[in-house]
Parts: sequence; C-alpha cells; structure tokens
Amino acid sequence: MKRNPLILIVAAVLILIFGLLLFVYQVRKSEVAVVTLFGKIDRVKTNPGPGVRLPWPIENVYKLDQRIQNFEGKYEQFKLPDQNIIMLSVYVGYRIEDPRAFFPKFENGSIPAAEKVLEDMVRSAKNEVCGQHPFSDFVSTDERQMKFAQIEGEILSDVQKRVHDLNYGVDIKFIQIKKIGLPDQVTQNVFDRMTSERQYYISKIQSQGEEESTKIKSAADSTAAKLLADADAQAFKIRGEGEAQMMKSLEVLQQNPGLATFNMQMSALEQFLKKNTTLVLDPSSSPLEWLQMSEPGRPMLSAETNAPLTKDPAK
Amino acid sequence: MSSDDAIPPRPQAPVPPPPPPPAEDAGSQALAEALRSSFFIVKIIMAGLLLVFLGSGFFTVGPHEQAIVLRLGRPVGEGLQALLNPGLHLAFPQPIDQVVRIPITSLQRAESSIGWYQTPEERSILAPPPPAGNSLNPASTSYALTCDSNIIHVMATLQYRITDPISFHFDFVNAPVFITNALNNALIFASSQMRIDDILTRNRAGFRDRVMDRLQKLADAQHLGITLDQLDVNASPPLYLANKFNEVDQAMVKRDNLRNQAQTYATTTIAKARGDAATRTYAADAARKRTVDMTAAQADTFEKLRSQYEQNPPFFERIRQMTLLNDIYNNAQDKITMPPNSKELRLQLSREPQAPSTNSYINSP
Repeated sequence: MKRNPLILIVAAVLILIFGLLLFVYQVRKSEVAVVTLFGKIDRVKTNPGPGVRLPWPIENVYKLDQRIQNFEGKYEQFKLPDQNIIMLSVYVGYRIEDPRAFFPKFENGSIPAAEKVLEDMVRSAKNEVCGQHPFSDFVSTDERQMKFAQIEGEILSDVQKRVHDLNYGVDIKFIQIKKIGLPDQVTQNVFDRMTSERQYYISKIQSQGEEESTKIKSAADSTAAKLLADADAQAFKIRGEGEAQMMKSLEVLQQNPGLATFNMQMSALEQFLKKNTTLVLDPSSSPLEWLQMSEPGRPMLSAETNAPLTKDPAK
Repeated sequence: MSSDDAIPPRPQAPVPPPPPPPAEDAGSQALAEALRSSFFIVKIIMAGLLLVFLGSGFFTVGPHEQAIVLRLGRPVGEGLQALLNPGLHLAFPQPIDQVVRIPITSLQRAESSIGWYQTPEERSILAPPPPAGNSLNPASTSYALTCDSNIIHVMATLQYRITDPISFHFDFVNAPVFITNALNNALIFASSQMRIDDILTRNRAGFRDRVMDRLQKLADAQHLGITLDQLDVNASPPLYLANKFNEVDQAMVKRDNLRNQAQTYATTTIAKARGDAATRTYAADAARKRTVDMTAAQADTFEKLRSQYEQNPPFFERIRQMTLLNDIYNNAQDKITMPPNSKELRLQLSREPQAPSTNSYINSP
C-alpha cells in the first residue's frame, strides 16, 4: 500500500518534538537546573543551554533563579545600649550560590521558605548589632563618629556568618538600612523638644535682628557725629587761619589806632543800617535841625553836635 | 497534528473519477463535496499558520531598547556582542529562541518609597496630606532622623539610564526595586549626617549632593549597571510643626527687613553727615576768605586815608559821619520824625509782614 511521504515527515517531526519535550530541558542564562532522580539530587546544570534528562517520573527538573533577589526585613524596634529605642528595617540582596546545598534545605528550592529563615537571621543579627551601638552611632554630624555604614557592615557579616555556618547555599551580597524611625511615644517627645527649639530660634532671631539693627544704626550715628566733629574742627582751624591772616593784615592799623577804630565803627554802622531800616528822628537831630531855624542861616545846634564842629575847618 | 488531519483527503481525491455507475445516492455525493471544500479551507488556514510561524521569527528592536536572543536559554553572542541594536532582526520561533528586550537609552525613573508622609501612590494622585497629629505612628507614616535627633520628611526622584543591560537584567531579579531601595538608603544616610535646618533651608544643595554621593557608591558597589542622571530631593518638617517652622522663617524675614532698614538708615545718615560736614568746611573757608579780603581792603583803605586823617582828625571824622548819615537816610525804608515837644512815641511793630527783618533806629540827641 502506497503511503504519502508527507505524512511520514509530519509524523517523524511530531515524534521528534514529543521526544525532545520528554528528554530535553532548557536552562536560561541566570538560571540553574537541579535534576532529581527519584526525588534525590542527581546533578546540577549551571551553564545555560539545553540539557538531557529522563522523562518524568524518573527524573525531575527544578529551575532556580540565580540572580540577586531582594528581601526586605520587617520594621521592628530594637533597644540600644543607651536605653534609646530605635525602629529599623533593612533590605537584603542575596543569591543562590550553591544549589546543591540550597535545594534540599528549603522544600525543592522554595524562595519564600528561604526568606522566612532569612528573616529570622536578619532580625537576630539586627538585634545583636543594635545592642552594641548607642543612638549617636546612627545619627551624627561628625562623620568619624557616625557608624551608619559600619552598622550595615556588622549586620551583613553577622548574617553571612550564620548562613555560612548553616550551609544554606546562599550568598548574602549586601544588607542596607531601608527605614529608620522611633516608637510612637518617642516621636511625641521629639515633637515637644522640636517645638521648644523652634520657639527658642524665633526669639533668638528676633533679638538678633533688633541687636543688629541697633548696632548698625548706632555705628552710623557715631560715624556721622565723627564726620561732623571733624568738619567743625576743620572749620575752626580754617577760621583761625583766617583770623591769623587778618591780624597780620591789620598790623598796619597800629600806625593810627584812632583812625582804625573810627573806620571800623563807621563800617559797622554802615552794615547795620544798610537795609530795611526805619528811622525815627528827633527834629532837632542833624541834619533835620536845619528845618528849625532859630535865626536865619544858622541852625539850632545841640551842645553835643556842636562841640566837635568847633574844630571844623569849614566853619 | 492538524496537518495530519488535513492530509487524508488527498489520497481520496483520485478515487471519485472511476465511478461510471453512479450507484451512490445524491446525499452521499453532497457530503463528499462538502468535505472536499472544507478540507480545502483547512489547507489554506494551515498554509497561513505556517507563514505566521515562520514570520514570527522576525522582530524589531525599538529606538530606546536593546535585545538579547536566548537560544535554548543561552545568549546568542558573547558579552556585549549579544546585545542587538535597534532595527529588524531574525530569530527562531519560541521555544527555541527567546527575545529579551531591555530599555536602555530612554531615561528611567525611580522614586523613594520611604521618608515621606505619603506613599508614592498617594503622591502621584496628589492626595491631600494626612492630618497632623502630635506623634507619628511608625506603621503608617515614614520619616528620616537628622543628626540633631529631629524628625524630617524627605523624598527623592532619580532619573537614570541603564548602561549595562546584561548586568541590569541578568544579575538582578528586579533591579528597579534595588534602585528604589538604594535611593531610600541614601536618603536615610544623608539625613542622619545633617542638621534639620541645613536640609530644609541652609544647605539643600549639600543634602542633595550627599544623597547622590551615597547613591553612586551603592550603585557601584552593587553593580546595578546604571548611570545616575538627575536627582531631585525634597524635604519638609513634620506636618505638626509646619507652623512653627514657618514662624522661624517669618522671623528670619523680619530680621532681614530690620537689618536692611538699619542699613538704609546708616547709608542716609552718613551721606547726610558727609554733606553737612562739607557745608561746614566750605562755609568756614568762605568766611576766612571774606575776613581776609575784607581786612586786606580795610588795611588798604586805612593806608590811603591815614595822611588825610592825620591833617585834621575831627574834620575827617565829621565828614565821614555825615557821608554815612547821608547814605543811611537815603537807604532807610521808613523815616519817622517825632513831632516837636512830644513826650511819647508809639510804634506798631511788624507793620509790614513782608519785611520782617526791619531794623529800628531811634536817633535821639
């Protein structure tokens, strides 16, 4: 009986695929496969690519992710040696390093089961490390005093040691603090302290402002007064110089003090009566006396005004 | 499998020609016809599926990504050569080949998930802030501690690029979570080194730099395969104390105002004093000049008049007196002559408000 060759090819392909599914498994990059023979680990394939196996139920293939997993511990309270209480949570980066050791310890390589164990370890490591560090090691302006990174390092090496001692086949890559805080009641005390601190700052800033303002103003007043005093001194000096020069010029007046005095009196009078003067005159005063003639052509002269005229050459 | 079902009609196809005796009934003939046409449709579908299967090997890598082909789980190419650049590529269909796409040139964003009074989700929907209580429940509210043991809220947003896609994708189950946690750690770390007022106002840039510095160290140490691009940080005092912090800010503004006012006063006062001082010096100088000039003129006049005076002093004096009197009479604004024999004279002062500086001169013999 003649058979169509296409049917044969298709059948062969199908059988091949079926066979591959039964006898071959794939390991992706970053994965590792644990092959069990009747439930016991037979071999581990760590490099990516295809692998050969016996069909189920003889052999079973479990794939584990070898990439770094993230695990976050609980946010819990720890007592510090200085009686402070701190709340801390960390995150852990770990990867399955030895699948042979890891696989049987956590029911067929279950990650949640592993993390449950890890959580206990991290908690006790945190507890131990926190018990050795006062609050100032967690927060401090002085970088030498601050041991934030050191605390993380201590928790890491503590957990690493435990994992290594118990041969869990896990490599703890890093442990870092994720969250830090204080218990509810303590935050209330901190708020009270912060409030009084703010109040102190407010009054300090206010008085600082007034102080600075007063200082600036007084300094300005003092500078101004000094400037004016200097100017007055300068002016006094200038005037003094002027008077000295004046006295020098006036030495000539000593040749005839009578004339000098007379001249000065005259110019003083001239200056004094120069402007806006109201004169109230007695009709008998000179030269109004001429308006009152006692005898024709001769004024009635008073004794005082007459007296000096006796020497008058015009008379 | 289905190709198996599609083949059988073919051998049956040559069977129908030799039926000269149309012994079968019309019903079975119609059935055969229907089967034949449905097998034809199935064949077309099969061919179409085969084309789709073969065509599924083509895939495109977008402009902001790179891709790695895993053939039977193993990357095709070694190291960086395994990375496929944007464009059209060919791969075997699943499950032989598997294409892993990694966003690379586009900026990725990470937001801190601790330290703020709202979760990132609440922030993204702009939820109103929670009521401000006089204590903080650690289970619901997150914050950081400063080096002066104060409580502060801090948050950060990071823009980064994946520069080592192989490490980013094949070394970490979920690298973005590690980046977020590194950001959280950097915030806590930087806060615990600085004073609350430095973080909030005085040294915001310093705070940002410390966060960035710590983040860079963590990214390098953990080989996250990223380049940090931009970091924005934000800080806020506890909501319960927001008013108190505002009052401090207001006090600072007030202090600065006072200082500025005082400085303005100082500048004005000193400038005015300088002006006054200059005026006083100039006035003195002018006075000196006037005195000196006047005296010189007097001395000069004296010299000229002396010989005349010495000839007849009383006459000289009388002439000078009369000349002066003449000038005074001419220049006087008002001249009042007392009536003869009057015993009393009444003068109203300030008769002319427009000329207040009136000199009165009563000349009585």
